[in-house]
Amino acid sequence: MKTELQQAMRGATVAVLETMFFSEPILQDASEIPHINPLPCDIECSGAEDGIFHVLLDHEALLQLCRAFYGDDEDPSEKRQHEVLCEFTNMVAGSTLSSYATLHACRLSPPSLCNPEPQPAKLMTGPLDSASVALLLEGGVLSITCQLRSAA
Amino acid sequence: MTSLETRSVYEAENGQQALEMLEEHPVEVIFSDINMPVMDGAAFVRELSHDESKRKIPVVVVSTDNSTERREEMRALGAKGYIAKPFSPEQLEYEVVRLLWEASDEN
Repeated sequence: MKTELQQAMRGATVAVLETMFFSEPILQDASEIPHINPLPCDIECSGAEDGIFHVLLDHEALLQLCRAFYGDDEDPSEKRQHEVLCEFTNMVAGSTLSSYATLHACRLSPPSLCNPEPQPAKLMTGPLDSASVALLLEGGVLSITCQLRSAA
Repeated sequence: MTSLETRSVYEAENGQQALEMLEEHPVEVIFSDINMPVMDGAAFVRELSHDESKRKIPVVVVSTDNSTERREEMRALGAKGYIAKPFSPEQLEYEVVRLLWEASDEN
């Protein structure tokens, strides 16, 4: 289960980066590289799968993604940075669930900027699936963790 | 056909805001997410289909949900296209050109 979720999340992350942000990871495993000034974003899912996706993206890496997405040379506004981070989180979570579970039976919360420390999963009984991805992008580290519990 | 780069783009944060903006800005194509606050994509497409003056504006749904069930649900509500995220700029452009072409054919 963990391997399947791990593969789904990694595949979704790389696909979102390449397709929407024209970016490729510099390193496929950046778990040993510390974050520098990371911005956090959470998205919860409920329904067929209950759980949470937690994204941490270094600020400079976020600026690079914003520039790639908007095609601007200037630094994006804070509002745009937050929008990009939230939409990135939304796409990774949705794409992961699309290949791992039945997304139409899940409901994703609006993404929210949050505490940099990942919050423990809400009260959930039964076995949890978890996965983590850490990539080095241009500008810094992207790390994503998720915990899911199947409702079935 | 006129270059897409010459067209104006209006952004709304949710379905309700989009309906209000449509009163001021007539458009040729609408791209809509599904998961939005205040009024989600399904409710928005349903509202449009009930409005005589707006029901002919083609709506393309853009969503991370690529399931057959969701695609069929949105088409049944009246959406004319569906793009799964992540998507390339070429996919977006194809949908716009396709719908504008179909609209000009109908006229």
